[in-house]
Amino acid sequence: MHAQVTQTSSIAAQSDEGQLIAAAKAGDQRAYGQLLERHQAVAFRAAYLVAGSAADAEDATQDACMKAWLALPRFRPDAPFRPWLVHIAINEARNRRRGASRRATLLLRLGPGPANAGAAPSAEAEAMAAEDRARLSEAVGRLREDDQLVIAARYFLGLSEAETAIALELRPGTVKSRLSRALGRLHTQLEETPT
Amino acid sequence: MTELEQRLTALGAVLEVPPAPDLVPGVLAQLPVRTRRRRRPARRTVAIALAAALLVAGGAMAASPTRHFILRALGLRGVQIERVPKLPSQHEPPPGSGVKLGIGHRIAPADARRAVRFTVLVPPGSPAVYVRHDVPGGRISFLLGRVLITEFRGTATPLIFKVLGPRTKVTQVRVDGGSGVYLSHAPHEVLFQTTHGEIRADRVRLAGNVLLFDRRGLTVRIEGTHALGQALALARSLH
Repeated sequence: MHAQVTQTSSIAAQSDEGQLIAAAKAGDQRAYGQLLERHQAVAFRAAYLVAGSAADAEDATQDACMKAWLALPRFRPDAPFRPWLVHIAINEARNRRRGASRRATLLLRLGPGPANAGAAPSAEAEAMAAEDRARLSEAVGRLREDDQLVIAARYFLGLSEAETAIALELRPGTVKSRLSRALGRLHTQLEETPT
Repeated sequence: MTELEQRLTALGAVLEVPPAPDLVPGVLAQLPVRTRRRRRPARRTVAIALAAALLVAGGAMAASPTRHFILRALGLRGVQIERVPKLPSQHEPPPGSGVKLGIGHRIAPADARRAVRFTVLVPPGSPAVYVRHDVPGGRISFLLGRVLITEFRGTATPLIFKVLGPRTKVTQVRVDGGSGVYLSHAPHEVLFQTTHGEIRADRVRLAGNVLLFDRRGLTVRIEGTHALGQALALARSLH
């Protein structure tokens, strides 16, 4: 029952998004504003990971929103808007990173561990988890940029494989194979890194 | 999902990413109107396009008619913007003193509305207020941390000159229905026309991101914001 409700609301959301895209394509700025409200956060997150600076990420996302508006007449109404906006934001962020002569690697800065709703973990368990996250983050940071991006799109931005394909301008089949190879190389990195 | 994928998902949840700013108001303020019909470009559109082309072309533009044309095309009174291939050497950012900033002497906030010959727009909070009478009608400045807001009466003759380097980005914006322009990404030099008609370079600093806009006959300059959204929010807060 719960799954059915979720599925119904998801279809409704998609249909609603389709209507917003159609209205925005016809020049409705309010509809476009609603689309941006839904997806600006993931576009900013992508831009921040790539650009490595909050100010550059904000500018990159803002420019992406402007460029998306200008390109919207050519956008297919049945295509998903979110990965397309992420794609433009990543490109804008890359341009800014190049302009600032920063290294082509994602910014993976770790925050505090997740809040635990259940029993509080021991200090030792928490320290081990933090160490594991740091080791994993460093291993991702040593991968080449293509591998980092496909991993980031799937696991740090929460995009589906189909969305990742649009965001990184790849064929869907290529996402699968590239992700598989990236995970393989990550696994090797982790094995080579002493714990 | 494999164990490694689960660990990556968990890593994604703890990555430190600043909260996403609300960019929607800033973006909507800049969106050009899109129409399906192809029309003959309006005279103003042509003027803006030509001005943009001149700005992008680079090189100092010495002829006065060209300068005034750019001023009008950008729709701002009292401001002229010019792009040059190379800016003068870099200055240090503002140290916080009104005199060193070239914005005059400090006055009590309560005196702000009486200090100049126009209706002042006041930002919220507790800014330090400075006044200087080196342009007709005077100019008033509010210093809020590292953000500097300067106001003066808009005139047909430019009082502020912005000299942009090749990397400075120029974005046209609308601020509460009025014209505006946002200069970002690279420093630019600020020059003033004094009450005696002299063009004097502000030797103290090269400005960072700047939003310039017209409101109620005033030209307002907001300097030192990190992004357009912050500058627009501050612009709307002036009363």
